[in-house]
Amino acid sequence: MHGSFGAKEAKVAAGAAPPRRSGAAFASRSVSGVEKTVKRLLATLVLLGILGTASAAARAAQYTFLLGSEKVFESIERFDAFLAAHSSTLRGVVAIPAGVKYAGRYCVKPSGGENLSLAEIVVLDSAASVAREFGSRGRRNADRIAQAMGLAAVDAWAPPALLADSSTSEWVADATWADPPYLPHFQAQGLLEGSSVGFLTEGDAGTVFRFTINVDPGLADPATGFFRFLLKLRAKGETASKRGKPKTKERTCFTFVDLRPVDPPALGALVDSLGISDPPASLLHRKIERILTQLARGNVDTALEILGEFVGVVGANAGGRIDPVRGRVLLEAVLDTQRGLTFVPSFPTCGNSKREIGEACDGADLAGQTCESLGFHSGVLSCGPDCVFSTAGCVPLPVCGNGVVEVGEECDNGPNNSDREPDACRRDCREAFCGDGVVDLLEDCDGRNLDGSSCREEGWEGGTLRCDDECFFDEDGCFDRDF
Amino acid sequence: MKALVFVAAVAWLVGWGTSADAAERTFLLAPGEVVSAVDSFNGRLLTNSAALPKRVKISKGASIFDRVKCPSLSVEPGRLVSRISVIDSAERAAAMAGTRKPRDAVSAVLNLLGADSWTPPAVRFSSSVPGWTAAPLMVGPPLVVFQASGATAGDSTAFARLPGQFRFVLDLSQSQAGPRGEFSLVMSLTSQSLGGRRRRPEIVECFFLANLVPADMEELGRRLAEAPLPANARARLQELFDRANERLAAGKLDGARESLATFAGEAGSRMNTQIDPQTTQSLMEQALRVMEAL
Repeated sequence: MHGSFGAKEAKVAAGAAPPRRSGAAFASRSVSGVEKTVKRLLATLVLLGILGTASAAARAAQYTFLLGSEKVFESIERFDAFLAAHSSTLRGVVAIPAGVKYAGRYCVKPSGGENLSLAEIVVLDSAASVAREFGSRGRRNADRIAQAMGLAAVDAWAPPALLADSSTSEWVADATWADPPYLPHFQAQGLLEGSSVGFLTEGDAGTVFRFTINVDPGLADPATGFFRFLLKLRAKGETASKRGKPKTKERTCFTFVDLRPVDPPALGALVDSLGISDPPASLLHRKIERILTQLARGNVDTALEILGEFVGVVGANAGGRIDPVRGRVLLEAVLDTQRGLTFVPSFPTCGNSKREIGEACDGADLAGQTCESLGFHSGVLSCGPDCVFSTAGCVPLPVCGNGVVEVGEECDNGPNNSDREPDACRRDCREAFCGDGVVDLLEDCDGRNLDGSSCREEGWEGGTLRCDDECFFDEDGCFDRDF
Repeated sequence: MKALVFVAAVAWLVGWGTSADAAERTFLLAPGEVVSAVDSFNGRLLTNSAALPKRVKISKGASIFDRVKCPSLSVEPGRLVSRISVIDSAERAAAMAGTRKPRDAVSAVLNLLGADSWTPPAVRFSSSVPGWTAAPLMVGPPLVVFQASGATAGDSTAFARLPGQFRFVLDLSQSQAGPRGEFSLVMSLTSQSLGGRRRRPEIVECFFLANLVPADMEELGRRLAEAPLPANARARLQELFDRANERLAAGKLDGARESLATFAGEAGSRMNTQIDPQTTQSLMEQALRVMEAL
């Protein structure tokens, strides 16, 4: 069952903010009349400060998280419930069809009436970073969202992100997105291309996004091992306007999601935070050490077998040293570790017959293009081995005047093409013909061009000579006076 | 008329209305799960509101639908939780929600969100939650109710942290189960705001759905039968499952727990060698759930 906002939030509700080190707190104690004592105290303070910094640095761990698309959609529902639950504290929370509106923003699940699909995900580093996403405008709304995320006790992490990739090549993953602080950023291929390739709707489960960041292990929920991260989501799609015409819409909103690190050391930390005692605790830690050793040697399969042994120990001790509830939490965490160890990121691969980001085509997938659409006369378009169009099979549009008779041309004599010379290839690459205005061989005339002739020339006394449709003289208008 | 009443009574006694594959299933519900079920239901109600017959509203930490209010228990520390009922159908919930006539919109929304029904009477129910007792709720046929005893009602955030579980056995059909073997049970929760200087205490009854997987051997047996397993693993796990069942039948609970722990251990240790991780999780998770119920 899900839906609870968890112990983290309860901690905030109860006013139990995590303890923070402060140099000022120590400094206020250094009021003494004895200089020596003050100096000693200051020296101690400096040392404590150094130790504090060092321990803070030591606390940060490089953890990897997997974010499934179904979890993203689930987060929308959870955030709606969260906003409703906190509507006494958060001003302006209102129910709208298919969701909850707060601070001018709302997330709507694709099933919720608007035909919007998920197109972009950013993992923000803290509640304070919401302001950056809003820019100079809408600061009040940014503050309100930051307030909600504060109530949700989202965990801060230290940028920059170290890695970002995904299980589908239809999404572009980037750990160094935009300007500092460099956050994990995932974007559907269609968002860059102006199409809908890769856009996700609620039924599209199975797409997984991976990111590695520096996070304080102490922030994990001790009962579950979850960290709570703030997400910025962008959805795009078409909605029907009042006049019935489809309208392109975009929506950006914020949610939070609970994720467990997939690193084996995090599993060890969970064994400790769940309060599992010896003998299984030591045994479980030894298994984790062995997993790490095998991973360092590149033996992933052996590491997975040992992970199985780990689960075996959990199961065998369930109901005894490990109570069933904690056993189930550990089991879920093991499955997360398993997913982390077996995760295979997907990158654009030329030759997989699927057009991906950076590819014009792939195999038979020509993105709907043809020789004609690429500006050729006709022919068969194909995809080259480098996923760039091959136009070898395309027939180019003819170029009249290049001296080469091409498709659609009757003749081409290059510079000798002429619209004046009899029997010459014409400048539109057609053979001389009756009607071209030039009197060619076997023609008496052509249109109004009577080749200098007249009725008199033709032996009549007068009248008007004409040219017929077959380029012969029409002497019907000529006459002799005698008649 | 008397004859009709007699026929109805006999039909009820012999299980009229039960489907062919109906069976007694055991459920466990921790106080923390009740709290998250209410929040989860509110989330589903809000995100699906476009498809609902009436508007969903939000007011002071609660969702309101057809005048039925569901306050979140995870936020308001002053709210007292006094009663939790397991109701046999969405229609019964509608009847209970309406003071004069059933609130049909309530049953419509519960059904739309996938409410499952069961056949009363509830046979066995108990509570290991401190300060909470179990009793039959007489609304037509007996349903299940868990009630806080007096002063121990406590506030809602404290309620979520209470140890122990509510346990109940219902007669329902496997055909209603979701993909993970879960049932969507209709529940009601009565809570009361403390009130203040100018505010009178307000008692509200929220109707919601809780998605629960039965914590019983039947579900473990079903998962085992459907699991893709190599012959040797299947034989061994089936043997342990049968042993646990035998010990349960003989009333040897510790022995059954031991067999289930061995079952979980053996399923786990075969992960990535003989059994795929998802199947391992499905089997182990259920074995641990049954152990919780014993």
